[in-house]
Amino acid sequence: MREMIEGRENKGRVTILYVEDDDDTRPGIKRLLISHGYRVVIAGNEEEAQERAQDGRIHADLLLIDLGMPPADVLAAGHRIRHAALTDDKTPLVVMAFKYNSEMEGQDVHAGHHDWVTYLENAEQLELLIDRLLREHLTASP
Amino acid sequence: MSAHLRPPTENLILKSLPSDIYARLAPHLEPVALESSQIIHKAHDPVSHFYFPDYAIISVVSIMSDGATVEVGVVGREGVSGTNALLGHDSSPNQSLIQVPGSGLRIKTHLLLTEFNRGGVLQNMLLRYVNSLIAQVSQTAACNRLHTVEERLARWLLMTHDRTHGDELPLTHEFIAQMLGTRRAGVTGAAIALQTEGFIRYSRGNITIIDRAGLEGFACECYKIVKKEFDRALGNRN
Repeated sequence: MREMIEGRENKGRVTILYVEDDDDTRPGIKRLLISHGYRVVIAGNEEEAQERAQDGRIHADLLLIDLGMPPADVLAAGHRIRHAALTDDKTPLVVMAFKYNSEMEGQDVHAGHHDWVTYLENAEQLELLIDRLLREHLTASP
Repeated sequence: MSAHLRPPTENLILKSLPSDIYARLAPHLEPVALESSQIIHKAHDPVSHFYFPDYAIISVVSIMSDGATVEVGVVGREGVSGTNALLGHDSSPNQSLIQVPGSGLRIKTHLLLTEFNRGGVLQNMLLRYVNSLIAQVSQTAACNRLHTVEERLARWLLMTHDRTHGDELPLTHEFIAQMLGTRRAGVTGAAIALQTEGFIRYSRGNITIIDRAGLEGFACECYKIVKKEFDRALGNRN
């Protein structure tokens, strides 16, 4: 399974459901994910994400969420989306914190078995976290 | 006035003053260190001093009731902070803080106003500067509404680069996000775009400009419009 996410070509099979309600932020993060070979499905809010997940046309290998709310509320929204998507509950969930001070920069906080809150300092941090979580998830999946 | 009485400064307004005017101001100009994030003018507080930065950069920010901030103006060695006092208001709804640390000279408000009210070269120079600052503020408002965060970041980096020594800018994503009024992840995404194009390099807390011409080509029209206004105000001195 490890091979699935190593090469650019193979990474294309890995799908990230990216929920983003900020028009400023969406294009850059989407471009980053695509440049690393992931298939990206975009939703503008929780409801849209649930609709997209429920129609059964996507199977997300990872949920990446940025909503203008405190991390606990975004995690709760992520759990509802994960449940609606009928993906297994081990699908990694990454929440991008949107307001924090410089002391938190660069930290990835484990917020539950498969849940993470990332306090972004740069793009490499997000790339490494997503790559690691996908590697672990896809390796562990049957 | 003998040359040695001129406090050393790189501020373009002070450097441009005729000797007789500068001689009257010089005894009152106080060298100051301007530290990163230091607030020099609090919103709604009376302006106690005008600040003439050298290579320090001052951001003028608008603060909303929920704490959200966005930069509405920037002052570097081409200008002076506290200009609302020149126009008859002793305070401003905006806050001015140090974006890039450095040094500068400051002078008590009433002392500069005394010289300003004499008319002549200093008044003319400061009013031309205020006019260019108004152009900058209005262009920034339009830019924040109409242009992408990548274009705004490019414009903002160029404006910062113009006002500092060298190509390394000590800027965190947090600070840039506050200045551009966007989310942290938005800055991350925009920085990736500029880095991918080869215009900048980002490492923790530092942005290095590596292709200035490319960045100018990428930035929205706002950068050149504002720069032209400042060049005009300063008689194309740089």
